[in-house]
Amino acid sequence: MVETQDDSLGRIPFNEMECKQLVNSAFWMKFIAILMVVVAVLNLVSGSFVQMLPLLGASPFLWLASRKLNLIVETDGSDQEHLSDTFLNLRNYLIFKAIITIVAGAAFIRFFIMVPSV
Amino acid sequence: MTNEESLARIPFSAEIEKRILNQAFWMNLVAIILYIAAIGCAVGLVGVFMIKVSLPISTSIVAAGLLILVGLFAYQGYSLNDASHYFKLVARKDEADQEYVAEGFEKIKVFFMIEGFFMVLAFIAGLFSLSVGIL
Repeated sequence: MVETQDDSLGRIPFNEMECKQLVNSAFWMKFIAILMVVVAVLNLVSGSFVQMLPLLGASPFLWLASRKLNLIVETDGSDQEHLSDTFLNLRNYLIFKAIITIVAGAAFIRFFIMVPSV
Repeated sequence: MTNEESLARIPFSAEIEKRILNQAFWMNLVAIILYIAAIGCAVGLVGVFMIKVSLPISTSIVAAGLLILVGLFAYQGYSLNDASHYFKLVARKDEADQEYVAEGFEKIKVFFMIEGFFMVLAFIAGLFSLSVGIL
């Protein structure tokens, strides 16, 4: 199960359906990355810095993960390396996602606590 | 894109396998947070009917919104958990690595589609708070 990096595969023979699955995932990742930047800018303009920072932190990792995933399908030569990079960037994104969800949850709870007093 | 035989084993190094397992761990953690969010929304849903609160919009609209959130959070957590399961199989077993990678990314796509919905909601909320601020 374990080998050295030198044995890394230049080409992983994904079939047409698998390629479509990878490209679709990459598309959604890129779409979310762009939306994150847009929402972060909106938060910045409206003065919500706490919500803006994790969004800005997460989006580059998601963009990179999407780029590397596309490279697996589009190029041959370092497929396994690109796949490893995708995993690394996704991990980093997920760390930020955990923070974003907790921050959003806290904002949601705050809203519901404040509503009865309105 | 070929019809070559699918790889049972992608020769990841020990370090990369650790990285995949680490990613799967974070997927599980985020899934747990999402399940908690779903439970929180379900509690809010019950609370809307149990406690008489003066909401600026109709109670049934708030309840419907919370019900949708419960479903979306739970399904997002479920799909992330599912993706994590496939990525763990890539790192731990050598039976159908290539298939598991593709399946894992297929499952994570569902997570991102729901994330897209939440981002659009956040965008609308941002626009709303901005317009309120301007007015």
